[in-house]
Amino acid sequence: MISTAVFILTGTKLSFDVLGGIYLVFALGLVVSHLYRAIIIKLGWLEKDIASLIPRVAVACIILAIVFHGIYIFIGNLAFGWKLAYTWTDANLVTWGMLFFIWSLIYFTYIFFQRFRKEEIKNLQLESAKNEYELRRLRDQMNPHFIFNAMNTIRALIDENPTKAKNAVTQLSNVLRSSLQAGDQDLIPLSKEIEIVKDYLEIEKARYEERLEISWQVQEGTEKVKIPPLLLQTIIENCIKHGIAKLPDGGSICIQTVTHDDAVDINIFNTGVYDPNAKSDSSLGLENTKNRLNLSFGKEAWLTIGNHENKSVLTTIHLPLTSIKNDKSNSN
Amino acid sequence: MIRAIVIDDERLARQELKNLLQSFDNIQIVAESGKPEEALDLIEKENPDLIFLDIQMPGMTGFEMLDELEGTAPEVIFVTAYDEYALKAFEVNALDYLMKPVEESRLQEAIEKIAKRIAKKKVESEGQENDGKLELHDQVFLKDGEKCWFVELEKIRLFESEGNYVRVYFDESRPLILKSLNALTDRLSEKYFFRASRKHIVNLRWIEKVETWFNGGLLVILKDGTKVEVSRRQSVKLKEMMAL
Repeated sequence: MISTAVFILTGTKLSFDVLGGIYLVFALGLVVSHLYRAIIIKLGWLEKDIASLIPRVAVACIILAIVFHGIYIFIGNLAFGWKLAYTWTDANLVTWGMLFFIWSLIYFTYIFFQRFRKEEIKNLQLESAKNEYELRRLRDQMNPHFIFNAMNTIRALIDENPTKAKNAVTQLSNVLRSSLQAGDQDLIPLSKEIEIVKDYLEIEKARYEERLEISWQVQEGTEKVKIPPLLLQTIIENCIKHGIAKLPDGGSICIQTVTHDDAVDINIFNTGVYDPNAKSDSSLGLENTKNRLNLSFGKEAWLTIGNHENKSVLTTIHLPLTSIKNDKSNSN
Repeated sequence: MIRAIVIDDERLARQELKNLLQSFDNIQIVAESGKPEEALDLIEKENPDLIFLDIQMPGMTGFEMLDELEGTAPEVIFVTAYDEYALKAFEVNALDYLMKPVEESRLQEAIEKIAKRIAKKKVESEGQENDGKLELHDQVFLKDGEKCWFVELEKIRLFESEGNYVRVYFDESRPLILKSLNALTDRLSEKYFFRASRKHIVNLRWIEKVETWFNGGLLVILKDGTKVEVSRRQSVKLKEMMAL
């Protein structure tokens, strides 16, 4: 095929020797370039940057050219009866070197573009996963089940108790507003969080009526402690969802704050049973809450949950008072 | 008049629905309940045509409650706030559900549809003696794991026992329910359902062909191609039933 092509192009008929040489170069080139590729992968050159790659490739090309030339002459002498000697001045050495260099160039460029494309796809996937997560987080934060039930309760209250209905609209607005603003601030005073939770619980109280008892024991001075927004709210929502809503006769929620020397404990007691093995979206929510505490305060804050006496669950949020000190030094 | 029961654990939610239903002359609310266990007793006692049922309730979900129902299931309209996952459990569209707060026009559509079904049922069962057994136009609620179906018995081709469970064949579905074939035999009307063997109950309306089989037994071929062997003893009975 090659001989035919050369014949058509140049009009000369190639001798057996020259033709054999060309075939030999092709065959050897194929074998050696494959070996070269295997070595590149084995040595991990694909992970190297261009600066450290260029000298390596250059050296490799020289070595390859020398080896290649040796094999070329050896096989040629054996197979075609050439009587070639290995000389360092042979122009073919340069040709082989150049060929290997061009091969390397093409190979690395190809790999680079392939990597680039893969990376791009991966980035896009990551981005979409992040967006999806964000969307889900927002939706969970809005708690649609709560909102639509609240709306339904308010509709019924409009006939039965218009004043209560009006209050419920305001309370629901407050809860919704705070969940929209939650992303804006890192920490808010506990007093503010308590206001939101009170509004939220008032609405739930309207829904569950006598099935939900609420009591507050807020120790003076604790309201100033800082807390990540909606942290307490999330816990109270879980108390309702997994506690009160599951009990035909309802139960109670008690929120208690206690100061220690350098910390504030928020204790939340709710009727129900805590199952640490239950795999649910809220165990994920609990992990999230712990992470948020950790992000804001490191090891100085923690959250514990467990069964308490009288068929109740106790959740404790431990917050460091240092944030109050920081607050004071900031205002000075 | 459609006799209905409202079941929801929140008093205000029940109140709201009752307010909405006041403008429907064909609906009569005979009872209401906030507790699924109590509601089960009420359904048994009142035998309503229709129930409005909340899904998320303490103690038992609406689906679990339906699963507990013995006898024929009344028509059901689910009323729920936001239970996309729960509603996905349903395979069959022959079911209506309403979202809280309930829109009056949607409620009207749902009731019209149900009223038609109830009227059809009444025409079909007219002149028939009611022995309390399930007839072809009765619907049953089936629950297999997370999935639920409402099925009219006329759609069910075959019941097949599998250990303590029974596999129910209808449309493209084959759910496994925790019942015994004997219990089902007692509840299904003999006019339409035939106990072919220890393992099978077939719907007579679904039989396409009957062929003779070994030892004087019979082989029943259903319209969907399923073949069911009839035991020797039951074959005699089937021949009697099919004879002129």
